[in-house]
Amino acid sequence: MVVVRNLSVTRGKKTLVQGIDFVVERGEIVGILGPSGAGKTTIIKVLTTEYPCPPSQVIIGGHDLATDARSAKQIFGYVPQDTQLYEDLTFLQNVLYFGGQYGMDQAYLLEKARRLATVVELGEKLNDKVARLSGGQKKRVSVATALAHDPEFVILDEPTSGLDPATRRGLWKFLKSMNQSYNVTMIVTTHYLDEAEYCDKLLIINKGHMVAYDSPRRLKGRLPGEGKAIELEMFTLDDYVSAKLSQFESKAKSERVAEMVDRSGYRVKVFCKDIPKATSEIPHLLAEVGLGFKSMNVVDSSLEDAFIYLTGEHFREED
Amino acid sequence: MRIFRNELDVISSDKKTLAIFLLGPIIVMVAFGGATIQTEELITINVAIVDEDHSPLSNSLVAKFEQSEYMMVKYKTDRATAEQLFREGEIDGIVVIQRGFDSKVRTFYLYGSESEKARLDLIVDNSYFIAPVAVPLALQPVMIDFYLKDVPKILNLPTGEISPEMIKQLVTRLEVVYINVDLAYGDDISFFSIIFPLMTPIVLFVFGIFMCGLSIVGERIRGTLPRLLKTPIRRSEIVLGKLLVYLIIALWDSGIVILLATLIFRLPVKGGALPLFATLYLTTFTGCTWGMFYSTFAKSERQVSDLQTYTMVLVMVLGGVIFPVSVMPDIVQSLAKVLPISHSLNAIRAVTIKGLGPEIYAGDLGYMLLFGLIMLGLALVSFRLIKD
Repeated sequence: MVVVRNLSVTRGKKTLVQGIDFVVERGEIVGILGPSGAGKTTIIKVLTTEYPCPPSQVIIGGHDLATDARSAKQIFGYVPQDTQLYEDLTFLQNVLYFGGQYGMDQAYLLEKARRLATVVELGEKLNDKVARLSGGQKKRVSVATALAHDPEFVILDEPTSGLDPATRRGLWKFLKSMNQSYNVTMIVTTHYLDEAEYCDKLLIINKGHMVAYDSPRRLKGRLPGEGKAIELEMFTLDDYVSAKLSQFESKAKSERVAEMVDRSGYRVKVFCKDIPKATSEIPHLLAEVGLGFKSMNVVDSSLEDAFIYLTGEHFREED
Repeated sequence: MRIFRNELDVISSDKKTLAIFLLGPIIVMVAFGGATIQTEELITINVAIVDEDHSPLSNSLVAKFEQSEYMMVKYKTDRATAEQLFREGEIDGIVVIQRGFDSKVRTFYLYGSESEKARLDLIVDNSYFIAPVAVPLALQPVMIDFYLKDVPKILNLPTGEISPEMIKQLVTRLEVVYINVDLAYGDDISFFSIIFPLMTPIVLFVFGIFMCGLSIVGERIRGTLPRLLKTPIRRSEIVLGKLLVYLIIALWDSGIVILLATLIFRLPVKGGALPLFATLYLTTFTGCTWGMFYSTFAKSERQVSDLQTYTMVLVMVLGGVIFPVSVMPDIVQSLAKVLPISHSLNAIRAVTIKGLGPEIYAGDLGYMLLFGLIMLGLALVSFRLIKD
């Protein structure tokens, strides 16, 4: 179990994160979600002992990071964003080397490396130098290396960063299978909203502050409309239409038809508690402001919608 | 122009590299200038004077030696002490004014060349290639001046009364005093045997720096250090683990240098191969720990490379390779003695050509060990303080 209580990190005069509070249970996959600069990396740096923290703020497997970081390190594995492997060494040598840092027996590590190579579908690459592997393969080697010492939980810092969509999906499939097969707890940072759906819980942070900590389903459930929204497709979205939409938003909110209108994209999303009522009233309101629309559909709310709703800001993916 | 500005921005944003670029030449030039600022003659050597006569003429001769530009009278002492200082490498030569010097010189001046000659013993360190040339060279002007000015003055002889024939004898053949030159440590020392103690410490020390200088920096460049630091391993274990590899390589380096030097180049190892091995190994050890220290804080290969270059020049200047440490000002000599190179040089000379016992070089070996351990301590502290 990982317990983070009211974590604040200050570097120099700058406060990087403040009031972060969450508990990760054994076997869970927890995603730390936030736009660039939100504080994800800071939290990872604290969890991996790179940044110091005051006593009792971070407890990993019963070990207080402030006073017993070495014991805590013994039970977690770390997968960095940029693999950080010895490229001139083989997959096997990397596993043996990093696993050896945890005092694991070489014979055990050798056997473990073979099993992990099969799990990550790189059995035939075990004796290949890492430099010869593709980006996706290196990521898998990196994950395997982090699992060599049978950690209770693994911290993954943007593991899919820089990978193509197919490889990203493949890696997540693998992470899920590892989680299920070995009951490994995972803490994953990501700036891909679609990946957040793989997580059991999400810690949403923005500008160094914790916004929410809940399951993706319940986060979406916090939106008005119980996970549903109305999506309007406009004919065009120029300044004139934008101005008209602004009038529509004011009107819809004042008449309690909508609680929030997201008009940042080509499609306009209207969040409201009473979907049937809104579907009948929205066309009238649009007509009143003199605006036509192409189509209107009821759609499922997304995590991005939840993020916008919870933070009042748009989520910008880095890649 | 864009490339120029970009390169300027890159360099100025890296404060450490910029500091190395700007301060490196200053440090080297200060060391170089400081080492030579008081030196007009590169063949100045250190001697001890043993005056066994204690007479007006011997006192006058000692005073003449002290005024000489070519030799530095570091000690005026008895013969036993002088020989001990000579063995310890503190001086490059001993000038012994034999008992009866005064009376024999007086007799010569009064009765001519048929009388028994006064004797001056000259013991010269033949393992130090400058000394056998420098000591007699330094002696010549001193003696001529002594014969022509000091002696007549002390004997109350008008200079005009010295016959032209005597002047000829004095100046050309120097027959007043018999100078007995004793080349200590043998007169058949090869050039290789003289160069070996000068070059080997530099080579092994710098090689040690080169080996270890990139060890931790390499982890930084590869990007593997942050990952390594997130395992339970201690920072001190990283430093010591890496150093151990290079210390094992240093065993080979030290051993192979001795083998090649003795078997192919016929280096005499009069003091025994084991002490020589210990000396070479400790020299490499100091280089390794120094390099490891650099590696703990340098952020790039470029920084290490620049530091290595400046260090190499610095130790060559202060290590007595380009010119002897003995000609440097006292403060620079003290600085030179802080570096392990001069101690290595002393010990290698003592073990190879001189064949002296451990009592002479044990202090040098102990110092090198201490120096290496201090540098290792600095490396450990530095790596602990650096944020990675």
